[in-house]
Amino acid sequence: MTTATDLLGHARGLVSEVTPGTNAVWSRAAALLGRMALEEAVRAHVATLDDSLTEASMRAQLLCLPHCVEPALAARASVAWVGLSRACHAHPYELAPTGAELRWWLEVVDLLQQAGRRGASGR
Amino acid sequence: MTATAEETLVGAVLARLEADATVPDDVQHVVLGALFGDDGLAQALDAPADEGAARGVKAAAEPVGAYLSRITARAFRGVGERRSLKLKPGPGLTVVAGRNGSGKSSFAEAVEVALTGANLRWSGRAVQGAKWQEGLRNLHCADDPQVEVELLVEGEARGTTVVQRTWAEGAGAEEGVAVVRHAGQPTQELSCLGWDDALRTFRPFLSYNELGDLLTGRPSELHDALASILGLEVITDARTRLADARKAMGARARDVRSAAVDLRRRALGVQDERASSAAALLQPKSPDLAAVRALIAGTEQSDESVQRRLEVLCHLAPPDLGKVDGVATELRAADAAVESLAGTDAARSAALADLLTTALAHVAEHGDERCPVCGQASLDDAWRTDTEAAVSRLTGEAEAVRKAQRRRQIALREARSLVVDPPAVLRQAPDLGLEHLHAALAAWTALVLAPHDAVGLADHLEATAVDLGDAVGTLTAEAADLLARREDVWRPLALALAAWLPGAEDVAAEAEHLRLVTAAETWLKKSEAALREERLAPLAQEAAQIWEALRQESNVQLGAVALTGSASMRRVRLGVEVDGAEASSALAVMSQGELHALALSLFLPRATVPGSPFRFIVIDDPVQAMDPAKVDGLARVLARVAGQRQVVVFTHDDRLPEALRRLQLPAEVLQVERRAGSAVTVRRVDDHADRYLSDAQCLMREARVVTEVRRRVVPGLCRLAIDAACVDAVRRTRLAAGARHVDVEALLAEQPKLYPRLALALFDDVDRTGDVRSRANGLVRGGADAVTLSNKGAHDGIGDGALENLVRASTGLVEALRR
Repeated sequence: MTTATDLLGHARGLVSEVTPGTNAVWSRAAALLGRMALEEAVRAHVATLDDSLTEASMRAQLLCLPHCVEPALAARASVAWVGLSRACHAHPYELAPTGAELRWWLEVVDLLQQAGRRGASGR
Repeated sequence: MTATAEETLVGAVLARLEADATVPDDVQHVVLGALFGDDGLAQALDAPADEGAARGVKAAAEPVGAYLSRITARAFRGVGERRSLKLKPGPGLTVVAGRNGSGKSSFAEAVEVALTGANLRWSGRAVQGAKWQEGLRNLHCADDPQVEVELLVEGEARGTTVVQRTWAEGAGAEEGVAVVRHAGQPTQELSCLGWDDALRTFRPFLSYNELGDLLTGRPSELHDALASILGLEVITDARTRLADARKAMGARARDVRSAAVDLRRRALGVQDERASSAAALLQPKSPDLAAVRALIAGTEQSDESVQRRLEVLCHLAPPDLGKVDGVATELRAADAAVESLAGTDAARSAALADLLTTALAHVAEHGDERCPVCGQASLDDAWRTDTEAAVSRLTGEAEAVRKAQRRRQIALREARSLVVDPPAVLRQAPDLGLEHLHAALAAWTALVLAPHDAVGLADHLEATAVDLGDAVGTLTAEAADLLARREDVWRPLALALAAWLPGAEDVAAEAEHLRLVTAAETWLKKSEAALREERLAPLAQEAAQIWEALRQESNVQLGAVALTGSASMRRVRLGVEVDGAEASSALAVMSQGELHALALSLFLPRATVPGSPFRFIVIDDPVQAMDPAKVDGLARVLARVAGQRQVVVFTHDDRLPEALRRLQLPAEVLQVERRAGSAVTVRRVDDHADRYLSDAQCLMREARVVTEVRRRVVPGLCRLAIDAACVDAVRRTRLAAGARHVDVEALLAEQPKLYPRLALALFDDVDRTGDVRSRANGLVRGGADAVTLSNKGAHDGIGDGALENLVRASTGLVEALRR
């Protein structure tokens, strides 16, 4: 089973390095991987409140997130999720996300994962 | 200004001149001359009208045109490693899409900078310019910044022409060095292309900033830009040239006139008859310049003039005293010699000598005999001896008397020649106020009253000559003094007149030029507005047509376009109607998007006039402020222009490519993306769905991609492909059925999920999500599974084994949605 950390690593690799074979794919692919990593990290956090929450919609889980991590980080996570989701859907007249946008979103995923590890070790 | 636009304009002026019967030939000649620069004007004024000289103006020919075949940048702005944008050299539309910051604008700027050495973004505004200057060098590349434009010049068999501009270490943004290379030829300077003027006049680049500035910037700039295309600056220049010539000649005439007034006033204050003449000649309206010139040269003066008489008096000469002495002495000596021979009769002596000589000859012939006269004496040898002696004596006596008499006659004649009448001038100069005139005349008159006898004459001469010499000497001295005093008074005025005269003569000679130049200027001024309208009409008409296509749902209608005003008030007047009512100002009633569309309407005809050597237009982000309906209009307009020109449009979003795809207008779409380290990639994009599918296939083929990544990413790409095909299908169906853009976009925004979008695409009914799976299976084998797996797998990933089928079924579904 791959972890959220692995997913994030793959996504970051796509953004920062030119991996052979990914030349044509990188931005959407990074967004897809990034969103999966984000959603897994959020699920891990809300599971600490209530296991059944992981079955709820992602929007609901994000609403619960401020009870698990710093409210500021939770807010950034919501923004990143919206951005990544937009990048994973065909939206009218939008071109693929830029490297800078992706880096910022993935940075949020990283922070979320770190907060999770601190929380786990602290308990 | 190109030769072509100039020639057509001269042709237009010529036609108008010939149609105008009120313009005389010589004025026509000057008008045409003025159109050809200072030299042309000078030539027209100096040389008489040469029939047909200006009529040889050639008809306008379209110049050889150039297309872009490649744009390359290295270490320049957003581009790090050297990257190229390959373009199809020829008429056609290319859209280069890329998010802001992707490096797409770097390519747009590269074309402009390579060819002009500058960019409006940095030359126009100081603040932005400084930023641009800093941003010239890409931070991720150590090479010197370099841009390169590869051009294909029509009818040139030698291959492409490359314009390359490089910035050396430490060079400022505007210090890039450009070279031109033709295939297989040494590099040349940029100027060898001969585009310096054309780049200003036809400027085939337009950026988003310029679009805004075109109408909201200084009114005179748009005016000048249009005037330049129309070649109207030639007329303005000609008018300025004529006005300058007229003013210069007028100023010279004024200077000469006012100087003449001063001189006249001064002449009237001088006590001298020549000054009075000068004053009379210097009439303000038409001074008699020839008479003034004669006056100061002194050639005009008659013998009766004061000056002339004084000059004669100055040189008056009495009989020479030394000569008088000699003549008197000889006269007395000759007279004494005659007196000493008194009593002898020269005639009798001569006759007697003749008689005796005859007798001697008779005797010598006939021998001794008795005297035939007395009949007694014998004419013997003794007689002969005596007689011969007598003949000799008598002949000598007669000769001496004759000699003395001739000598006295000569002496008398000589003496009388000294007795000459007084020169006429002595009697004619009473008005000159000479003190010693009378004495000189009296002395001379005394000389003339001479006795007739020789001794008396000699005495008279001796007695009067000395007095006469004294009197005349005194008089000439007085006259010379008077002359000198008069010269002191006249000379400064004469010098001033001499200095004034050449200028006055020039002005007189220029009078005809002044008349012609003034007439030519008046005509040009009168005809300028009409010429302007005539030239602008086709351009304005095209702008109105483009606006008609672009305006779509706008209620603003573009009417007449006119160039109005002059000097600092010059501007372009745009007739604008809002809902059929005249609006005072276009700018006040139009939205930003409408202004941009209007600016484009004016720019496109300008950049595509036949006289331009540029067969390409580069437009950077024209869509930014436009609503979807205008983008449709823009797509149509660009596609139409692309029928004759190479149109390269840079855009930051997908609206224009989408419109082109949907309206099925031929266009090539390139996508620019920029990854870390300014690694810019350029890809050809057919359509979004195809692109996602080809990405998915790429991941499937590529062994090095981690299975985990593939398992997670490929379903998402399949879903993106199906989603994109749905969006295209919904737009196509709804817009074709007459729906408004805004409504279609709102509908799509309301339904971001895959099933409702499929329901819309397949049934045009958002509520039939339940029928989606069965219809998908009907369209393609495994269609329903493809929908489910792609949708679910986009979130969680799916098993590796199902991926192959998923990609195949998704591709089939996308194709089905296109039908």
